[in-house]
Amino acid sequence: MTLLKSERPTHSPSQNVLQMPRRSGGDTPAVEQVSDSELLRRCRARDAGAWDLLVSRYERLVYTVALRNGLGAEDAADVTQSTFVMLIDSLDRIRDDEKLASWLMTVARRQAWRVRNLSRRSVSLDDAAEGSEDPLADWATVIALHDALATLGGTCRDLLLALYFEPENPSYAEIAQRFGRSIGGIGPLRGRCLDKLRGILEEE
Amino acid sequence: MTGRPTFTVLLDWLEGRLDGARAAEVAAYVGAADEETRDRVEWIRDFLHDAQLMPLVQPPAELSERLRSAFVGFHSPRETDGWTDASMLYDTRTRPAAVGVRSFGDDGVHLAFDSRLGRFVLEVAPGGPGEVDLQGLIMVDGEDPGIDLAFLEHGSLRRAARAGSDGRFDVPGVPAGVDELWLTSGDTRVRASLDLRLR
Repeated sequence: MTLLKSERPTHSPSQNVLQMPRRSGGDTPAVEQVSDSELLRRCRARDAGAWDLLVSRYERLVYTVALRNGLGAEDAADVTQSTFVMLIDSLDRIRDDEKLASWLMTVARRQAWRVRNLSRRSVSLDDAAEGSEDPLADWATVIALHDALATLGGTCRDLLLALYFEPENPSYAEIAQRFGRSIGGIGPLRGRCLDKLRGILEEE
Repeated sequence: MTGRPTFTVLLDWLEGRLDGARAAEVAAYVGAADEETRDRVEWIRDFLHDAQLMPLVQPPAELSERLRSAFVGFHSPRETDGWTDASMLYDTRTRPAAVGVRSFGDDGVHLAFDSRLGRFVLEVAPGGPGEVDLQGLIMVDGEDPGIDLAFLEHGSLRRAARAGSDGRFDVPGVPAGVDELWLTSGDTRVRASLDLRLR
């Protein structure tokens, strides 16, 4: 078995180590190079390690979509579980492996709407009216951003997520520790990564 | 300033990471900049704004654990003492209609089971070629941490679903050869033999 770091480095890397079986021929790419397509391919072959990695990569995104669509923590957790179960169910039917991020976001959003509609049956009309506004009016922008980040992949994706998508706004020192890099290297690297992301978004 | 600022320098400037003199230099350049530099600045500003539209929230650790274990749970759960068999209460193919049981006529089948997780019903309707559409309802006893459903054919997972908080589930396009259903809620696991063939 090959020990691979998870996609979201933490201050205690040993707590966040995932195992993925080595493929025959020893051609398992480094974890930061494993694309969504490759993860899906391995999940279809019932590789539980690939599933763990996929969950690590997208659990925050799915949970956040559920929260941002008006759900409380308990319902958001349920929607997150439903979304990943739907992914298991759909592994052989997903049309575009490169768009896994938007697939998950779309499913999570639909599930969240369903839960909201169910709960609205038991709330007052005033409450329902207040909650009827789309909580994520810039949905298309957000979805395009996360698909582009998935295309970007690797360390660049993880670095940009850590720097720009975490609510805590971690410092360069924290990021450097997480990624095992020098503080001085974080700024230039994030600039190169962001420029690559721009290229991907402009191509699309 | 001697040349066009790099993308990274523009990013540093917009994030306020440059010292006063350098920042003023870049600002002066951008003020009279070429179209490409202006486009870069505009793009970075948009990105910094868009990234804040939906900051990512870490789910609780126990949810992460459940998400990871779901995959193994659907494909190869451990054989433990947690398994029990559901008992069939009703099958419209073999028994005359009873009061309160919806009739499907010649098109569908209605199945009802009792189990450790509570009673559940399945409505089986014709689907695409070789498939049936399933709708179901689980009447859960007590607190329900959510119920996962695995539909298997000769031991292989064919479809997976999760019942909603209202106990309902809807699984279209299930292979008609599916012969087993697993229901999992926490450590409680129930097996039910199925015959989804419509006559």
